[in-house]
Amino acid sequence: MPKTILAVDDSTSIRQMVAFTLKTSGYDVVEAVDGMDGLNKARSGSFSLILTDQNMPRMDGLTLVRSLRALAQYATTPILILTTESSDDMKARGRAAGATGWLVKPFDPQKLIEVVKKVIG
Amino acid sequence: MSIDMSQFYQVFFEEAQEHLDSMESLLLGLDIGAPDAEQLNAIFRAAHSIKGSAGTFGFTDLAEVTHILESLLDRIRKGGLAIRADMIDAFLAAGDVLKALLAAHRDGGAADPAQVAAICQRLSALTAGAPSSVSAAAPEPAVAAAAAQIPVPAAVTVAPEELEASFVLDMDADAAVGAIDNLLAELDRHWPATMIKRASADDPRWRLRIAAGAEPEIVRGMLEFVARSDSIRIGATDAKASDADDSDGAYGLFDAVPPAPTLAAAGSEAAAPPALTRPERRSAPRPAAAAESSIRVDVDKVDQLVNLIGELVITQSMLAQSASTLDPVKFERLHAGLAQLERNTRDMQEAVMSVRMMPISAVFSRFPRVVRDLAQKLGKQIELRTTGEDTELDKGLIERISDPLTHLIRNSIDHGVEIPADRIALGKPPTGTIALKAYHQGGSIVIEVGDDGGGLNRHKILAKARERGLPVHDQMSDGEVWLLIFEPGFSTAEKVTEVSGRGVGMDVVKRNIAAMGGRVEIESMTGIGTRMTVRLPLTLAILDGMSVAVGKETYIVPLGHILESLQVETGMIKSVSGVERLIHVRGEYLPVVALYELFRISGSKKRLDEGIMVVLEADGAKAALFVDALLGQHPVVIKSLESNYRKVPGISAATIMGDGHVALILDVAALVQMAKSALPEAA
Repeated sequence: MPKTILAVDDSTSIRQMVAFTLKTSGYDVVEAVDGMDGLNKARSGSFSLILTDQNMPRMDGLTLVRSLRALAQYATTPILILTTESSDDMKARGRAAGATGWLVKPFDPQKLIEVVKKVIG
Repeated sequence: MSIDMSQFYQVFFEEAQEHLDSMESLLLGLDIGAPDAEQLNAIFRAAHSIKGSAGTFGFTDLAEVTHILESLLDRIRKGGLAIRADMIDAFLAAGDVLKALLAAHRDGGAADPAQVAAICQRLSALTAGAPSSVSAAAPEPAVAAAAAQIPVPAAVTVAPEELEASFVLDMDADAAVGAIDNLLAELDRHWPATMIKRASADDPRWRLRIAAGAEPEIVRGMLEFVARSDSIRIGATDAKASDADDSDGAYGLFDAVPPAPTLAAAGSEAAAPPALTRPERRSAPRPAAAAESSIRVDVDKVDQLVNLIGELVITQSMLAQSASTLDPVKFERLHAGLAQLERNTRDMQEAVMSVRMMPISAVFSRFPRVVRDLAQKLGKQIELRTTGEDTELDKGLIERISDPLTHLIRNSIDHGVEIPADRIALGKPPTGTIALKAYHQGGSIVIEVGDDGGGLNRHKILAKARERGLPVHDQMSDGEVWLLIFEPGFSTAEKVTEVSGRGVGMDVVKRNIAAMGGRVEIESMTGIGTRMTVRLPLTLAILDGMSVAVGKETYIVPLGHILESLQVETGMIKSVSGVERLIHVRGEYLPVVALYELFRISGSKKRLDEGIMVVLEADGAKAALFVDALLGQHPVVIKSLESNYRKVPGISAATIMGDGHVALILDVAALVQMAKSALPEAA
């Protein structure tokens, strides 16, 4: 059974691109439009990996990561933050929130697949 | 594996356009004196989103402009740069350039690189002119304004960098979780704060990281509620200490296994994260939000549905008519079924029509910019107040009402609202108001454009009308006088401004609105203001009609054009050149249009005093339509005659009646025009 990935991004175009890329590589993808939606979908589903944007309305990526880590179900699930900022500061905050890693935007589909494969095979 | 990115372009274009539109309306709604943190964040986020997607899909010029815009906005929202009016101007101009770039990419045209360079320079100049003391902290909402929410002493030190605080709790381990939650929630209301993972759950020292801009003394004050005073340490963070394993690549992973969460480790899975319990911030009214979950559907598909429903309605009424001759007792179940079908059809028709309905905010949202730009140009101060943005009307109407409404608003700004000096002299506040209102009334939508300006000038309008040779007299009612401004080429502006001198008059406005089946009314009081009211039907697909009989034929007259119906008496008929051409109704001579003559129908009534006169009005002119009888009033589904047959003078469309017969819908404006031109000059 293919692994299911939750893709959280408020940008429809990015979300579709991510979903399409992952599906082409054989993963199942569920999309969420912001952190709050992502948290709700994560609670009612089961995911092998969560990809989230940082800057989103209603709930940002870091808050989503913190909230997911507070759930027993997602205590160790890999979570990658997609961010336009690659500063040390951003990384430190991502790490503190409990993220597994990060991917700098803009990224190309190959890079996405590369990091996803590295994390969940 | 290679992915064809162009398949996502269309979505990106729509998304970027939405972001640009919302950015513009947010910018226009921003109070420069006291900018709302949420609004600044939303503006930033719009620019940020466009940048991210534009970069991903390879639109480098868009990404470049949004990048500069985004970094400026980021500094403003973090309080590193005070927002000024010239910045808003530059941001709006940048929005315009971005829209042009977007359109160029979408339509395959070429963007003007000079324009891009110019706006980049203009934005960069704003950045350069500002102090550059802001740290490069990562984005987190509401730093600037949140800091302003708490009372602070006059001279206060603000940490330019992120702060790290560590402390030992002054309580039992059992109470720790709740206390930490409360502390984080409290801190988060002022500055974003995150807990740093402790080396082990037994470590008594807790560590917090607080975003740049935090005030150490206030942080200390908060910590003292839960921690031992002597244990509190606050200092600049050492970001390097917790560096990631791959700092320069396009991506990277932290530790092999994600750390166990701080709070969960302490046994608090159920504890809501701080950001969720954060109290609602005060926020200025934002543009009407789109539905949270929606799908985009091609308009053609919706129109096809509307058409099919129209057919269904017709089939249903044909069935009902056929069944009406059947014995109601014998065919009881058939009748019950047909009644059910009628209800379902009606509900379905309403449901499908509602799909075509859009909130009028789609049109209203462009007016803040129009008002702002024009008021600035004319040296006036004007506040635009809109109400009823959620009022819905047919998509087709939304597109067509935009230009006439823009014209009415420009007219109010140009001719209505006075310049501040004149207003003060009149004892009015210097800032004028234009009130834009939309609401439903019966089967119509009403849109009002009101201003608190000088009102229309009766004498000037009458004088101008005389000058233009229009038939006017001093006894005309105000209402009649105001309607004169809709006459072709009519303008009482003392000086020709850029606005009024564009050659498009109010007559075009009136004609366009009439073409949509609507009408305009004016109310005005000298010194108090003017209000123009536009009434439109809710939809273009269905029309309230009066069916009339001529011989064996049935025609539909749009109800909106009918003033009255009357039986003519011999004394009312006046002949011109020996032909009965006019009737005299309430002091007015109306030209007569005899349908039997126009459409060469035999077997109809010929004597004017035997039939019925339907008095019609279109484009401000009246005519009397001579028919045999009135049959009834009902909504009809409009079917284009042109696309099914060809254009016929005097006919606007067709419909199918309950009995299955086709009835033609009269083009009232054309009929009235024909009646006027058929009259000899002397009349």
